[in-house]
Formats: sequence, structure tokens, C-alpha cells
Amino acid sequence: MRRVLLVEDEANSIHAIAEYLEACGFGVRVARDGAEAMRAAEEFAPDALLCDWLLGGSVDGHTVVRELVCRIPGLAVVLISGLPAGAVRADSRDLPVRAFVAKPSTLAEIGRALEAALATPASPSRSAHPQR
Amino acid sequence: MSEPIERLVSTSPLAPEPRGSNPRSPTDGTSLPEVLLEMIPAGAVLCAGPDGRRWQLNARGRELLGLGPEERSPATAPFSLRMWLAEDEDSDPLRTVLTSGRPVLGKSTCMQHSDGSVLRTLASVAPLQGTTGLGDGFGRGAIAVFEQLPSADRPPPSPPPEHPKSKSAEHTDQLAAVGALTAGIIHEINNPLNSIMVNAELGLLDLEKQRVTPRLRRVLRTIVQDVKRCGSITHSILELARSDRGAMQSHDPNEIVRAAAELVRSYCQMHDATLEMALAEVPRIPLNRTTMEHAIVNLLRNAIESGGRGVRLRVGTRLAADEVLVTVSDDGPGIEGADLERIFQPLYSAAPGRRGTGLGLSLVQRIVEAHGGSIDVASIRGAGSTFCLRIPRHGGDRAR
Repeated sequence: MRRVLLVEDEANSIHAIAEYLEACGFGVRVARDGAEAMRAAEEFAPDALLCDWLLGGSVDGHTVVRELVCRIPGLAVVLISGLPAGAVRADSRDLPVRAFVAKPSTLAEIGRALEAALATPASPSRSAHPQR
Repeated sequence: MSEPIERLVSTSPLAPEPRGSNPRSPTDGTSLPEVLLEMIPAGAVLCAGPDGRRWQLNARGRELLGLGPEERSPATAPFSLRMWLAEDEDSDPLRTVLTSGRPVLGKSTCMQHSDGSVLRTLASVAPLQGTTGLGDGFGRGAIAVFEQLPSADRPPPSPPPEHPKSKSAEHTDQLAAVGALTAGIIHEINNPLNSIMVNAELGLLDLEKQRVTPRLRRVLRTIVQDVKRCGSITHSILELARSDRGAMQSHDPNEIVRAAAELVRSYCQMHDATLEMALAEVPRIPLNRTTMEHAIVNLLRNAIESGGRGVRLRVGTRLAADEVLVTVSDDGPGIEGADLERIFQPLYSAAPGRRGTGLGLSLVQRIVEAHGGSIDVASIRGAGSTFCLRIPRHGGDRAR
């Protein structure tokens, strides 16, 4: 079973997205902030990371992605944000992000973005040396 | 104007961007900030990035400057713009605001584009935090909103009097203030919209299977909650936009505090909060009653929401030198040091579980600054917080 770590500080949407992805056959772990995501990734070892870009708390989306792609080689990263996708693309250009989802999005769009990210081969030159 | 236009162009934040450095083409999808920019009924320039090299002029601005539809940004036409304060030809209010992050409101300014003609304007420039949609990512930007002043061909000999301001000056300032919040608003509305979308879809999946499940009830409740969240955000924006209804007039600050306290009475009851008033004798001062009442209500609601059930609030007034102070104190959990530095930022909410919209305190700050005043906060972890509005007794330099 492919495993997805879902990092989202919006309490009202995180469970709906998690239930949908589970119904699609993914193993899902949810984290409500960056620090929880770091801890969860240790034991959960996800294949994909679906991460909100602007997270509450002291660990932001950029840090979560940068740290986890170092720890988990080949991690498929999908970013989701209420900011325009172009802005998030620009701010995350130093990270090996494979897909972007702009809120508001449908569940199917989220599912397709994850499938596409998991089907994309990792780019070793970028994921090995993330810079900021 | 003594400097050649070439030099102005090379040093201005509105100079053309080097060819090929802007990844956006004119055929790119139009972003929400761009749509909002075009809709502003005054001239407006949005610029982004630390050096302000990405910028865009709206339809009314092109009309005032006599420019064609293509001449809206250096990405669509080879032209440049420069803006300076009428009182200082070497000034550059857009760059000043980009650097300082502080607004410049209701100033007599001049604008000049590549053909050399000068337009006299009344302008306000406000900082933006977030994304401007100009391809510069999430960072700092600025918006200048302007209207034409008479005698377009030469700058005035001296700045116009600051008081009383015309209706259009106040309106221009408010548009700039609204513009500064745009980025935060987009993000704050898209989040509940996303929640509404995904929860509605889950509910539909259940209905398609002819099942009325506990999950269906849950997702419908969530949708209602998120629609209310969107409503409270649009309500905040409307309050700000409506703020020109009551221009600056002499008011008794205590009367406004009493009215604000009355407005939160039932909200206090809902949260078992108690509100005590300590109103000293203070003079009547120039106030915009609508916005000041809104600011005090926002502070009280913020204290109730962050203080938790049973919180005790105290709202007070007093005179200190040339300022009237309005203080709102609570005995809630207080605010962390790291949060204290950020609570006035438009996107930031330190309320537990992020119940607020993250817009309330930034609106309060803008309102008190529009009165020429300031806001500060003191907090002790575990012992509560005190917000203090300092309003100049005779109206400040920045008051509008």
C-alpha cells in the first residue's frame, strides 16, 4: 500500500481529504503542523508527502519539505496552498516538488496530483542538494 | 524636474525590467490580485519584489496617464513610470514603502511616464505582504492608489493642507488599505473554500449511495461552519470599505467605548466573559466613529476569543499628555514572545486553534494609524495581555 503523509493545519479539510485518500487505497497519516509531520515521518516512512505550504506553528512548509526529502530518498512531494499556485511554485523552486494543488480544489484533483507525483521519477540532482 | 528621464528610469523602481527576466507573458492566466487591481476605480500601481521591478498599472491609471491598453506593465510594453512626492522631487514613495513596510497616505504626488509629461496626483501607498500575483512569489510588495489633482502640467509650489481632507482623498486611502490586505484575504478565503469543496464532495458520495450517514451530518456541519468563516472575512472587509461613512468629527471617546462594549455584550455572555469599564474623564477628540468603534469591538472580541471561557476583561480610557489612551486588558493566557512580534500581520492568528480570521488586529492597527495614532501590546505569559490604542488629542500628522 502506498503511504501518504498529509500535513495540513486546516482542521475542517484534513479529515475529509484523509478519508478520500484512504478510500482510494492509500495508507494515510495526518499531521496538523510541521513539527508533528517531522515526528510522524520517522515511523511512517511515507512514499508521498501532501503538504500545505503556509503552516501554523514554528516549522513551515518549506522546512518540512526540505528536511523530509533529505531523510526519505525518492519522496514524492505535492504542495497544496490557498495562495496562487504560481507564487508557491516560485517560492519552492529550490525544492524537488512534483505537483502543485491550488485551493479550492476537488478531491479528484488532489488524488490525480498524488498519482502523478508518485508516477514521476525522482530527480537526484535536486533532491540530493536542496538549497535555500 | 531637473534630471534627465533616462536617469530617472534607471533608478526608479518602476523602470522597465531587463528583457527576459519576467517569466510571465501577457497571455498568462490573470491572477486575482490583477483582477482586483483592474477593478479599483482610482489609478493604481501594484509593484512587487525587493527592488520593485515587477509592477502593473490598472485601467484607470492608464486613462489618467493617457496610456494605451498594452501599456500596463514593463512585460507588455517598453515604457517606464516614476512617482515622487510633490514636496520632494528626489523622493520615491513606492521604494520607501517597499523598504520601510509603512504606508504613506494621502500625499500630493507627481507621476511621470516615458514621454516626459507630468501628472499631479493625490496618492496613498501601502505595503503588501503575501503574493501580488506579479510572479514574484510570497514576499513584499506595495500598492499606490492615486487620483488626478488639478494643474496636471506642473507640480504645486507647496504641499496641500492635510486637513480637512476631501472625500476622494479618504476614499483613496481606504482603497490602498484594502489593497494591502488583499493577499491575506485571498489565502484566508481559499482555505475555507477548500474545506467546503472537499466536505461537500464526501457528502455527495454518501448521498449517491442513498446513505444518510453520521459522516453526512458531520460534513454538512463543517460546511456551515466554513461558510460562516468566509462571511466573517467579507464582513471585516466591508467594515473597512464602509469606513468613509463617518469622516473625522469631534467625539467623546468614552461614548464610543460604551457603544463598543454594548456590541459585544451577548458575545461576552456566550463565553462567560465579564467586562469591566474604567473610563476616566477625557476630552472630545477628532475620531471616525465607525472605524474606531470597529477597532475597539475587534480588540474586545480578540480578548474574549483568546482569553478562553470565563475571561475577565477591562476596557479603560485616560488622557496622557497629548494622547487619549484606550486600553483593553484581559486575564487570559497571554501571548508568546514570538507571537507578539507577528500578531499585527494580516495573515497571522495566535488564537488557539486559529479561530480568528487573522485579519482583526491588522485592521485595528490600520484604523488607529489612520487616526495618526499607534497601537502597542504588553503581555505576561499566564497573566494576560493589554492592548493600548494611542490617539492624538488634536489629530496626528497622519490622521485622515
